[in-house]
Amino acid sequence: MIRLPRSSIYDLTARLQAANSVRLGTAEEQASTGRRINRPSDAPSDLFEVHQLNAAMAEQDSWKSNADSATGELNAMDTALGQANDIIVRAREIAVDMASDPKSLEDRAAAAKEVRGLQESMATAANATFNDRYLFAGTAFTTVPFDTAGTYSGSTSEPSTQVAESRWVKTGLDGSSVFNGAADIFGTLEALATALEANDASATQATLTDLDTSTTMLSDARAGVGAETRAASDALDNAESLSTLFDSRLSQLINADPATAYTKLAEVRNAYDATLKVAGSATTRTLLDYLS
Amino acid sequence: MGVLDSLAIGRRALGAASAGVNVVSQNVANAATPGYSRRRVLQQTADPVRRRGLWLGTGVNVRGINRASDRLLGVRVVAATGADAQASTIETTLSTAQAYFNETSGTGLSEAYSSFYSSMSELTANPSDSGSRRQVVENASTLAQTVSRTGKGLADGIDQIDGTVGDSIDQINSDLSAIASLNASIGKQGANTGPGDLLDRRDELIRGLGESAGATVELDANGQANVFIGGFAVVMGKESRTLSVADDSSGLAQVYVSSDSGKMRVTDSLGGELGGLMSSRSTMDGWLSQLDDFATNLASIVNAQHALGFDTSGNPGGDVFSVDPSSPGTTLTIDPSLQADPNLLAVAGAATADPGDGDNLTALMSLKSSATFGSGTTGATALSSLTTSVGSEVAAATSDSTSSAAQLSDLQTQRDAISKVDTDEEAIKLIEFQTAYRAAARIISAGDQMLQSLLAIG
Repeated sequence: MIRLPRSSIYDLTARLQAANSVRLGTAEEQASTGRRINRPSDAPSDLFEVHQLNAAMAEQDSWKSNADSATGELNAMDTALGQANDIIVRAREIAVDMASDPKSLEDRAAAAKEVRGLQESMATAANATFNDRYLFAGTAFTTVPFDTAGTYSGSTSEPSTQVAESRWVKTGLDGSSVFNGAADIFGTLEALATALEANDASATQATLTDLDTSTTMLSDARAGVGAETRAASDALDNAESLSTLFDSRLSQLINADPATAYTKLAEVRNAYDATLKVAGSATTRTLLDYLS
Repeated sequence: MGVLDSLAIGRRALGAASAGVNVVSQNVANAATPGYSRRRVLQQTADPVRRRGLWLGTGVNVRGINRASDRLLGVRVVAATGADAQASTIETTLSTAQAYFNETSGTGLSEAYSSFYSSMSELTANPSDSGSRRQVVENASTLAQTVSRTGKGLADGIDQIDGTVGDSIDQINSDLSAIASLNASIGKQGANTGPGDLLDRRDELIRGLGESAGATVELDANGQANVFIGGFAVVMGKESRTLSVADDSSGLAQVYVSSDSGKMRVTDSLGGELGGLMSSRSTMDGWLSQLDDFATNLASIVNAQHALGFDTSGNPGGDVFSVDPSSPGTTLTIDPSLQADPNLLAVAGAATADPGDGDNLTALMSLKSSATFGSGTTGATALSSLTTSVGSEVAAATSDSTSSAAQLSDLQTQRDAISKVDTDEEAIKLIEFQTAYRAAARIISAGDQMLQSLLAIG
């Protein structure tokens, strides 16, 4: 039988109490913070994944923010292009109406006046802004892209923002390609107004081709904006769903399961209490108590 | 056999019982003295005498006082003490250093690094937006601060370790000298018959050296303790050597053992607390080195790409980060002019760029996935590798510490079973010797009465 001196029991109890105290500290930390990983050494093998998930979530957050912001700009562009299209539709109606005789000089003069007004409205649409940025100035979005004559001062480069790993959406358009493409929209309106002012039916008739081309150009631009809007929307949905997925996985890795944490805490507390009871009882009685 | 013989037996019995009580007293007095080994009085029957053809007993003799100890177990306890102190020191030191890596609180290196690039991604929405530019600059500053704060924490930890080494060396040298002196005293008085107190004191000093420096011990046939530190003999019988500490060319404290031919470096082969400190310093130095590489690479590739872009005034980009090449991990900072004016952020691809030109911003963002942080790794992987390494080292140190503590505890229990004083046991022994003393006194008393009876006849 191994000899176990009394003072050795004290030492052993102290060592057990110290070990249980460490376990109790860990269990209390997990239960109170709700986290399984509070420092790298808690789960080194999971750390790489935690970093990747954190980085991916930060990335998704920035892409969501970009997609949100881009959606506002794209909607504003769509509205402006819609207005431009309405102007061209009205101009075409006037051109069709005024190209056919008989029309009086006064009729064509009145129509010309309306077209001059449409020219101004077209300039307003082409110089549309969103958050103080000119939408059709390309990357030169602080510059007024079109003057009253329709001369383009913007950039031919188009600004874009990242909304996914390899997806960038446009946040502005090259106004020259939208308004001065296959047809010169401003020039066409000018030609129409001039023809009407000159009471020239055939010249008025001649603008119809460019007006039709203008409509096609604006429709194409609008379709392009629509595609970008869908891309931004898809990216936003995708980023939100991936963020949820990553957050859930991150939670699995970092957070402690409450039931497990509290059960473990109760178990360790019991062990700790038991150690203290043993320590208490070990010091209560010795042989000396029984000797007179 | 006469009455006088009985009185002599009683006298010897009184002496033996008295010696027993003395030993019990000494044991009880030292019940809580560290390193004390309980004593036992060794009694044997005195040589008999032959009278008139009969062998008659002459009582009891005290043959000696035995010290309850196991030499082999003592040697193993010293080794286990050193291993436990080393593991425990590594755990404590590395756990402290780990606090600088707040990797799960959202303020760690990896988070700062990914935030830097995320803010650049958000700047793509409007490269000229002052608020977004400010955010990129602030995140670059946070990244630089996080790297340098972590680096400084590690560097300070290393300095503190170096400062502690010198303090330990003085005490170790004092103990080595004391052990040599005790060897000399024990040699004079005999290894087996000398006073156990000297042996206890020597054992405790050796155990302390195991704890402080991972000393090991060999006991020779003459009972002399030869002590080794880092594989070198530092006490051989009555002779002792000294340890010294001096900085190497890198400014790191190194430990040496004096020898006849000069001094020998033992830094890497130390055990105990000193070995734990040296091992922790080496580990932390490795972490700092990884951080140095990261800071150097980050500053180098970001600055190089930034220089290819243009700021809002059309000027080429200056440095984003600056480092002191002698200690990049502790000195990474953001350029002060960029910190003051985010318009200096050179995200445009051309000098006459439009406000929406983010060509160089796109190039800067591509650095995130650029495998230019050594061994074909990206910056994120380099940081993750560093923090994973920190976590793994601390977890391994904790596991080693737990394991070595359990091993030491087991050996201490075995040692205590042999050497430790049990007050209950001593109380029983006290009763035994008290009773023996009373009985011996009765023998003397009876002999006295018998002599008185004889004298009364006269």
